[in-house]
Amino acid sequence: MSKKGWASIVFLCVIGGLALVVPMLPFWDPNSFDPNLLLEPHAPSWGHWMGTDDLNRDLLLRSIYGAQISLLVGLVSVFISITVGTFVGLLAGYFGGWVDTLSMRLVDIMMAIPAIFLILTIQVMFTPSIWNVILVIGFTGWMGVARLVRSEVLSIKERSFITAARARGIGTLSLIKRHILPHTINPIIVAATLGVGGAILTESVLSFLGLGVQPPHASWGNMLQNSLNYMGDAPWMAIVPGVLITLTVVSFNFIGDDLRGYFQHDSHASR
Amino acid sequence: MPYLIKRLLSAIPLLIGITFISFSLMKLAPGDATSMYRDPSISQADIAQIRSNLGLDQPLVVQYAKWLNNTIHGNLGYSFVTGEPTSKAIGDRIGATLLLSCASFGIILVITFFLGLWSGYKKGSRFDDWVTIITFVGMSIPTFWLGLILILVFSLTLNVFPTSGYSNPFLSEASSLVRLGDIFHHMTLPLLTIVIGGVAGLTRYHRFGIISILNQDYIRAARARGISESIILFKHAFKNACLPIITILGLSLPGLISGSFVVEYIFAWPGLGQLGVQAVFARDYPIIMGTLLMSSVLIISGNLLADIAYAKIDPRIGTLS
Amino acid sequence: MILEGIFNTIHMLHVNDLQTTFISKKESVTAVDGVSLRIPKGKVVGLVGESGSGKSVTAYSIMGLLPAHAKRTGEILWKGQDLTTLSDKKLQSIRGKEIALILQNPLAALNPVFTVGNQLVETIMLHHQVSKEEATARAIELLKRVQIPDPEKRFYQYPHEFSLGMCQRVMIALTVSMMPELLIADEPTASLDVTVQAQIMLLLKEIQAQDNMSILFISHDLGLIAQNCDYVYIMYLGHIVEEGAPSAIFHNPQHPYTQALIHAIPDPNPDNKMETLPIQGDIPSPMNIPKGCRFHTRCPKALDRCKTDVPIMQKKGDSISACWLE
Repeated sequence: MSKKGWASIVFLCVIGGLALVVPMLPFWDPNSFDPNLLLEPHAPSWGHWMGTDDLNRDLLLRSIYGAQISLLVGLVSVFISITVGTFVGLLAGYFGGWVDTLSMRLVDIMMAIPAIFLILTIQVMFTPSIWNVILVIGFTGWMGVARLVRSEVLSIKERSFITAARARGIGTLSLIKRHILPHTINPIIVAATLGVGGAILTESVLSFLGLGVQPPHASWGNMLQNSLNYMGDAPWMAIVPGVLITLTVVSFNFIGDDLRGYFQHDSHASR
Repeated sequence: MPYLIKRLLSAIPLLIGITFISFSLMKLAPGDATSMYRDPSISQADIAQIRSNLGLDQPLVVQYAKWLNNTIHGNLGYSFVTGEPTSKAIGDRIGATLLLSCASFGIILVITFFLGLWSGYKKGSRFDDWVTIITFVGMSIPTFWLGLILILVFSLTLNVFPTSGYSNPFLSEASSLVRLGDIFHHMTLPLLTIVIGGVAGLTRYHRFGIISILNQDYIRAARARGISESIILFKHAFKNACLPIITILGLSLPGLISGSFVVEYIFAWPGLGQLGVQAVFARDYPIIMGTLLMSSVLIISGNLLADIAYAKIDPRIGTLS
Repeated sequence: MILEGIFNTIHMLHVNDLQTTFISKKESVTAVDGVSLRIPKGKVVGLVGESGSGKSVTAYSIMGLLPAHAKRTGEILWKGQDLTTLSDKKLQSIRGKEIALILQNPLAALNPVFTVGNQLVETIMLHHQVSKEEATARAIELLKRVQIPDPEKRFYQYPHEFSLGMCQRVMIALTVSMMPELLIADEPTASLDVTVQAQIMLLLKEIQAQDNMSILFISHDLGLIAQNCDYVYIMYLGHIVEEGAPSAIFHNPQHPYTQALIHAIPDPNPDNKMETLPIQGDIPSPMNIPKGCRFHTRCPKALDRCKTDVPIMQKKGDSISACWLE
């Protein structure tokens, strides 16, 4: 891990910890507003460290609640992408033939569609909700993982220990489970880490366009949507959530990059 | 040119697949164009009538086959919302999109190429460290937010660039040079938004490509022949480095197009992206399908161009003629 | 001073106590540790060792072609001038023109996206003041000289259209075009078929004799070295363990490692029954170098002393070797 990597881990732990703990505490309600102030956005002050939004709600508190949503969407949707992608990639790589052709054509097709368009189209059809957002992002993001896993499986299949395992009469399922899957785990972990960042970005676009997480739930994306009308007067409303998104995504990317470097080094050393 | 023809033919099933999948998704989802008519004064019978007028009550495959047949004959249907032919709506918009995308891709290509080349060559230097950090931050910034911040800084605060649009309507009588300048003036912020995101996303991959090229034996052998560093970099590494960047650019085309859609929407740039996003909100199927088809055609032709360029540069790929 | 001058004309290259270390954040690896070599004018000097012994690193150290994270100490005297102290610019003017390098994999050593002719012309024009037409004519002449058939056509072809052996001929043509005084040939035939190997060796020797070039011939194949060299260095794990004339090394090897290498050469004559001493185990990792004599972990005759004390090079028999055994 580099310095950047450690800083990222610390940052994510702080954000994640706050997002986990604060909503469980009974003190603060993200929708409560400060009755002592005029009903308009207020700049950062001692009372509200990051200012308030147009309804006098505390931006820091809403950002923490937003973190909970954004991280949840990011993690769960990537879990879906990874599961689907690994499954498709394993099937395609292991069985080859028409299974491979069919699934890789599907991947080609899905990858040639501008993803945001597909997601928007699907999203506009359903009632927007957190779970819809998660499902849509999850099921439109698996193609890269599928390709990755497929190519790993293809290269592992060629190695002698697989032939040796086959010769010992080990069945397909346990061969995949015990010999192939463990060797694909490193690139999958890297892809997952980088994927969380991507999913958080997609969630923010969706919510920004009003098709993601709906108010009164706070998400970084819908906080940005809300900030649009106050751009000139209350720039902090746009700056706070945007900076949080950027920092969170950059942290996942730094960690993913470090992991990739670490695994590469590892595989070189073992050769 | 059999190679070109082969590549062109292989694009057809891809296009059919893309449109069929999109078409099915749209049809399978609950809600259609008639959900727009929430007015209770419109009776169920009327809605059914509208549905049948629009052909929405027929089976999926029939609807797709109809759409495909019409599309092949150049008829992309009519907007559910404005009644305008889809082909006209797209025709009106495609120019602005092509202008913005081609300009941004060109700039992205040039900046990425040299940034990646130099940071790969100076691997581990302070310059490289900064490029790494900046590209990571750049690719982690939400594109739309970057657009908002640029508007905040350059339009609302400094007042040097317009917030949105394509041209100033008051200049419609001015000379063509002034109008062209006006268009570029409007284009600066959306262009900058796309370029920052694009350069950040691609530089890192290009840098990896450069590093692996500089580790090749032929670079070492060239150095051993006393060839100067500038010729090593700008002749021997340069031409080889074009290959990975072409591949990366081809692969990231859908992502770049996705990004420019959102940017068009934010800056009210009258292109396909804005049209498409608005159509999505209105559930305007013919327009959605038309835009999707156009953007897929753009992506596939981009990939085709990438393949041709690759084959031109790399003598190991089958010759074009 | 006078003596030194004479010494330097005899030995074009004099490497003195060369040490090359690759430094990374985690660990430093010393791949070459105190190597000294002398290469006389017009002679072929062999450097033998297993892969991982530091032969190639020695070559790259001499050429100054190490990656940025490598550190090199000691002297590399080229015609009396220490290459380690020269500027990059100065070194660049020596590379190719005075000292050339041939690599193991000739296909990888040619730039895949330029024609063979392009790379030849580039090199010729860099080292000689000639026009492009003149350079082209010379290039085709060179291709002919390294026995590439149909050179006028081959000139316009790309490296991937050549066989490995043909690629190595192109590399030799490139070398000849620069007319260097020393050629460092790093396993020039290791990736080739045996028959092609012999042809390339023949070509190299021919060129060497015609141009009175010195060659540092690096190989893991002691047999090949013995046939072609005037003097031999045996390298093990970054150290030179034995040096001498090929006849001495071959018939009366002193160091157990040299003995093991020789015994490992298959002898086609069934009457010649030599005592076989296979080398035990693998070469240790340069990250984990044994104390004392570096060979003691694999040496069948190792003494207690070998595990603690580093032996020094001394004359024994007809060669010079570093071993505690009597």
